[in-house]
Amino acid sequence: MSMDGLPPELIHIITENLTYTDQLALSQISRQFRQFKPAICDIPSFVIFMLDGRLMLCARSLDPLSADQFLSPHPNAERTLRKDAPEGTVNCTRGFTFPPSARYAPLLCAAIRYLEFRDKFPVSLEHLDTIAALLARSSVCKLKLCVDTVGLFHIHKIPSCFPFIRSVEFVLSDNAYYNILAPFMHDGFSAKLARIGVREIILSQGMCCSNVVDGRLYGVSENEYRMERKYRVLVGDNGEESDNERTSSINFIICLFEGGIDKIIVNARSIGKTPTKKEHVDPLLDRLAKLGRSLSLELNSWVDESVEPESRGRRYSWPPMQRRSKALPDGPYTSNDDVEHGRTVTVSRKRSGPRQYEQCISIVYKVPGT
Amino acid sequence: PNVKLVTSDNEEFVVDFRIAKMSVTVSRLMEAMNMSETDDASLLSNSIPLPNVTKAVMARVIEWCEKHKNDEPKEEKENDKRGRTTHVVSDWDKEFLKNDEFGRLCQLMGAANYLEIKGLFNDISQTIANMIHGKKSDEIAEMFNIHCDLTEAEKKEIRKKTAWCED
Repeated sequence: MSMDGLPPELIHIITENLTYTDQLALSQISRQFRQFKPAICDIPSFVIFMLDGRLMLCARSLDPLSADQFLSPHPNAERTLRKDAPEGTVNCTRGFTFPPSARYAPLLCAAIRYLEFRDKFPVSLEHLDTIAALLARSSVCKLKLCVDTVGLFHIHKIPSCFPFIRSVEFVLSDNAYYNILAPFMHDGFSAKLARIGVREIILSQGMCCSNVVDGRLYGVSENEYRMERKYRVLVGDNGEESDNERTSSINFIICLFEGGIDKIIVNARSIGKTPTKKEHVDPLLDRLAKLGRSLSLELNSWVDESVEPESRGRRYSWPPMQRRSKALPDGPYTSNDDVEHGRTVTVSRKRSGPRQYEQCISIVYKVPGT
Repeated sequence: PNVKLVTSDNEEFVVDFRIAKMSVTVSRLMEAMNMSETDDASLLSNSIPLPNVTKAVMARVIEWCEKHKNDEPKEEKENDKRGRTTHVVSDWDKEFLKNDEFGRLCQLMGAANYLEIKGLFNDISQTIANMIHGKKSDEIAEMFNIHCDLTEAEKKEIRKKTAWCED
């Protein structure tokens, strides 16, 4: 018996258990299945945060039809707010008790283009699986979440909680006690992300609040304790040489690409020191070339001219390594093997202060057949 | 007390009264035929015909009912689509259904629907949904042996509309 032999009402019941993306895939099989096209509750932007012990779900820029779907009566909704925007779209907010006393789905098969865990009044990532269960039938395309000291121990849940995401932005909070990059490099995390469809990773820096004292985690489970030991920064590690820090950043980027991620955007100060000069960028280009596949990397940084050797005062004696330091040109940056590797490197700069500028290094590899 | 159920291929199954009552259809038929738990004579003299269920499928249905006969009835909220609870297939049920090929699952689902055994029906529909979960259109078509009759132009139009989540 084939599936198209099932009575439509039974197929309809099966589709009710599917996510938006699954329903979409099913509806594209044949004309018969076009009738099971999902009812769209299209949410361009969806923000989750905690307020007064409630989980607040804020959907922005909804069309009126989707707004009606989003705001239809729900037994667990406690606060509902609807605000019409002048351009004809609707912003809606609903509050739910959290953690939920029973399993329920506040959204029925919504297509969420962008889901953001807000950094102010954040939902702790230890509740990631509960949130994912609440959104079980909805599909999320892009995800943004803050990784604080607690979140660090829970990001490994992302691949099982959010299948089909295409892009994830991690807002990393600076932490003196834990190596914030360690969980990304453990246990094939990036490969697991790539396997569920993640193509792009954005890393940003931010301040996330969490319920920890002095940046250290208390009351952890046995599993978290094991991870805590792995991620802990040993006393003295913070005094690393800046070049070691740069090498760690490069290793981290390579690790993500090796996992199968196609595009990485590193925003300023998110993962420590990133390559900004020729002598740092060249080894990075060599290692990226060795991956032998198409990829894209954007490194954003703030460069302080006052510590650049070119602008140094004569009286200061710079160490030999820094004396060889060379700034990248503003514009295209070429090297001998660019054509061979299908590589384009562009540097753009924008002055942001009297002695400081924002620099963006964009590296693109286009390798045919990859 | 036992109840006799007769399948479409004239196979007779003698099942416990509690198991028979798990099917809303059988339960209604027993009521219509004045069969009650306390009246052994009526149970012995009558059998319930189930023309839409074959012997093989009935055996599977009874196996499932045997396992779940002591389950607490679940509370249901009617007409509350958005507040609907999500169905979780238990480990035993996953194991029970995992070796059934798709055609067999469809037959079992048809039988659960006809017999109105909600728990089994939900288990199967969720299992099929889980099979579909995460697959692309062509993979689903191949898995369930569905012929694609969409033209290239139609496919292109669909892809255009759904490009934002396919990228």
